[in-house]
Amino acid sequence: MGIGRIIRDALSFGDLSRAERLGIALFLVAMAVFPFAVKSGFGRAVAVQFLLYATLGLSWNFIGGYGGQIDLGGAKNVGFGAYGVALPMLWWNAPFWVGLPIGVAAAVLESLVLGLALLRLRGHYFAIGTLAVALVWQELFTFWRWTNGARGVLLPLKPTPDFLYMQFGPVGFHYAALFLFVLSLCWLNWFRKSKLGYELRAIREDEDAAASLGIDVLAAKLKAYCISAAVAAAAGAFYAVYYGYIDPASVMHMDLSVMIAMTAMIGGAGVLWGPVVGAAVLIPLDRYLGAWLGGDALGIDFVIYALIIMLVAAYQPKGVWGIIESLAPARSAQRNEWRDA
Amino acid sequence: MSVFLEVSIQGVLMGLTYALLALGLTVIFGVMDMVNFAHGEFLMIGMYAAYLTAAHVFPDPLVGVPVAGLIGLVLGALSYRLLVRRLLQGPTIAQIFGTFGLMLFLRYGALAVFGPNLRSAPGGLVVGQRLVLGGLVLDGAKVTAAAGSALLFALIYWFLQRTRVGLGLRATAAHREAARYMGVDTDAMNSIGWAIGGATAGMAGALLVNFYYVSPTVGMVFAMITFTTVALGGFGSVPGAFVAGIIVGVVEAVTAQYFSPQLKLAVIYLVFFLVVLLRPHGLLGAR
Amino acid sequence: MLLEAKRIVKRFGGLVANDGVDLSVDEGEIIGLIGPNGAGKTTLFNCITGFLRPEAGTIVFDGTDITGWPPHRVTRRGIARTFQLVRNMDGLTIEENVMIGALARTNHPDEARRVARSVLELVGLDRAAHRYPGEMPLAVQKQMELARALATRPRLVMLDEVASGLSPEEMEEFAELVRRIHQERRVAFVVIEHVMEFVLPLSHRVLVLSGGKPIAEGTPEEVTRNPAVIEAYLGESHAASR
Ligand SMILES: Nc1ncnc2c1ncn2[C@@H]1O[C@H](COP(=O)(O)OP(=O)(O)OP(=O)(O)O)[C@@H](O)[C@H]1O
Ligand SMILES: [Mg+2]
Repeated sequence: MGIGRIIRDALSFGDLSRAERLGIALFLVAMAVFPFAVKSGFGRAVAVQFLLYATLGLSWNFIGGYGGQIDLGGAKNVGFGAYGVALPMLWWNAPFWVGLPIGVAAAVLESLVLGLALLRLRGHYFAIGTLAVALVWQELFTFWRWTNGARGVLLPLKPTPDFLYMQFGPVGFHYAALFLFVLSLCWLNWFRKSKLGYELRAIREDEDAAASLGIDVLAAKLKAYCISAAVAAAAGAFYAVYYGYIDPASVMHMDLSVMIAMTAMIGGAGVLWGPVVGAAVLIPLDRYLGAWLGGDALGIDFVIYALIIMLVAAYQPKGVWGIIESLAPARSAQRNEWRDA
Repeated sequence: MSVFLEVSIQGVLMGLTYALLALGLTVIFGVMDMVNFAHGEFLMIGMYAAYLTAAHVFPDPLVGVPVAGLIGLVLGALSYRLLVRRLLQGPTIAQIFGTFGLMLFLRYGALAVFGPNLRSAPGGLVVGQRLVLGGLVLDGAKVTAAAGSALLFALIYWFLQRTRVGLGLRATAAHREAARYMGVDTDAMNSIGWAIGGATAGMAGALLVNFYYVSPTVGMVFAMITFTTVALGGFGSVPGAFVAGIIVGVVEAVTAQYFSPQLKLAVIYLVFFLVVLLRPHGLLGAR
Repeated sequence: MLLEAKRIVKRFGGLVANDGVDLSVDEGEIIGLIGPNGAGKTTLFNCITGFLRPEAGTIVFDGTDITGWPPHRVTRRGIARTFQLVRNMDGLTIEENVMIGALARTNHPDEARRVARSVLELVGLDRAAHRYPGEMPLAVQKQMELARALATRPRLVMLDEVASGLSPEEMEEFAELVRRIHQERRVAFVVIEHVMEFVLPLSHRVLVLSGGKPIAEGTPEEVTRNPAVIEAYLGESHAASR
């Protein structure tokens, strides 16, 4: 398969409906001009966090959305990416661009090895397995001394903006996050049209049928699981330089895993832009709720997410995408009719 | 050797409570092929029920055991009626997210209501009592929790084996369709399964309060231990839950003694991982 | 011989579901596989297609020993199957379902789509290509399963009770379809079926299983006259042993 073809597939959205294409274009333009339109530090921070979580949601979609494997341990990859940047920077003053491949490689390698075992589990078992693995990593990173344990890592600050260390003002961070997001979106866009993407969707629908049609189920899942890890780890690397401080409780916590999966689920699991919608609902909700309630209303934010997630699961497992679909039944029926003729 | 023996006995004591916890989860799994992610939170609610009873009504968490059982029972049945019943019509992904959402709801709801502080029982008949048996010194609260758990386990086991409702539950677990054709109200069985799950978890929590602190996030720790236990014993297997509970308790105690208390959870997760891989149906699992 | 399964043994706990079963299929042959409920027919399919690992016996396909191979390798080697209970991929359109099969032979989704279209045309489902299998009648779902299997370009297709649940007319249509595919593509078939009106006229040769053991083999006429076969179908002992 030629590289040109891959790039063409990654950049082409031709198979989506007009409305979807228009939505994506408008969204990208809005994100591109955002720092010029919004000057408030708070608004800009919300935007960066939104892009970060949207990217994490996209990473989840590879294995969870298209593959139907409910990964509840996404935070471990964020952690590997973040520590991959933070520790070398702390120890050897290594630039971000050295740490990034280290973190991504660590996440992919771990996913490859553990995935070989985890991905043999199905349904609930896989979900519990991923939860357990992520908890173990969090415990180990808290327990170990070489990771700085529970104290976490404070990244050395550079006096001036520095591209090598990815330290710059809010506008710089915004475009860096946007770049990472667009890259992930294109990767997912390629994936969903690729052989691997079809294989994962078949596996999501019925593993035995997929195997009977010549799909190496474990290998396909493993590939998607590793891609997912790579994207999440890259986002984790960005997380480290953006916040400047990481610890196991922030980058490896179960709450983060939950947020990642929820972003995709609420927007629409297995839909290209589902995680974007999910993050657009969750992140502003989270930040404005936090600002509004202040520090003393501990837990209220997650109580609200929990309600949303239960409602979505009980009434609309397809998420916001499902709501849109049910609002426009006429259109999809029309499309079918047209194709039948 | 005597240290090992003592540690093992401590492990067995804890393991009996794990067995009771696993029983509730395994009944739900057996009856409806579904993992209840909120199981640890049912336990946490039971702990708060007992703690609050001890703090405000009567200064002994043991009095809280029936209270916690009742609250757990209602909580379990309500969870089924209001949420799980709807989830069953959806795909697996909805089932996982649904009970996971319930877990988050209870956990962070408790955080909002009770705050993040750890609390422990103000005192009670067995709290802090030392029990000396020959050369062995045991914590009276742990012995009580173990004995209570074993008793409750036996009671539920009897209920499953010897009553009509128990028979209905077992029939539903064995073959839902066939049970329905033979006139078993499987929907009611689901409700009862969840009520048993909630009640046993709640009472286990109340027993734990005699020697364990309460916090809104305590559920996760026990949930993971319970998942491990159920996996080890075989999803849906009641005798398996008993044997596996004791094994997990001993493994935990031995790890804490010989490696590090901080690593005991990591080792338990490792056990879970190995078990599900090597023996997907558990030690005593069906099939 | 295209397929040679020899002395296959498969146990489930104490139950011997396959007890030394032989099955051989020649290039382009249609074999009927019949027997009462619980005879071990599906189990034999599962052993051959890699969904179960037989405890004893060998399976040789087209000169290669495929005993114990995982399902995807068996399929890529040239054996496709359908399932007793239809296994649609309901989130995918009928065309996409068939594409998944075609992807066993190509890395390009575009190419797979072309193959899928031509197979759908062959089985007469081209008009339903963009519908979802779940919203179609059972007969269409079964045709789709066959199309999906064919898209993997098999040399042997194993059909597990494709006719059950179909009306007599649909059954007749399905039999026609199997004959046509057999002629046009020179594909061999093994057909499990309870409905004798469907399977007997279709088959060149019939193998009868009962209680995990082969009890008769021969032409459809020979087999229906065999007293052991009549006994197996009329005797109630097997029904009770389930
Ligand atoms: N996975 C399994 N675990 C345990 N027992 C099984 C399993 N699969 C099949 N069996 C048993 O093996 C025996 C043979 O089953 P099999 O499905 O092969 O029969 P069959 O000939 O296909 O019957 P039918 O015509 O009803 O489909 C039956 O008694 C069945 O209950
Ligand atoms: Mg069968």
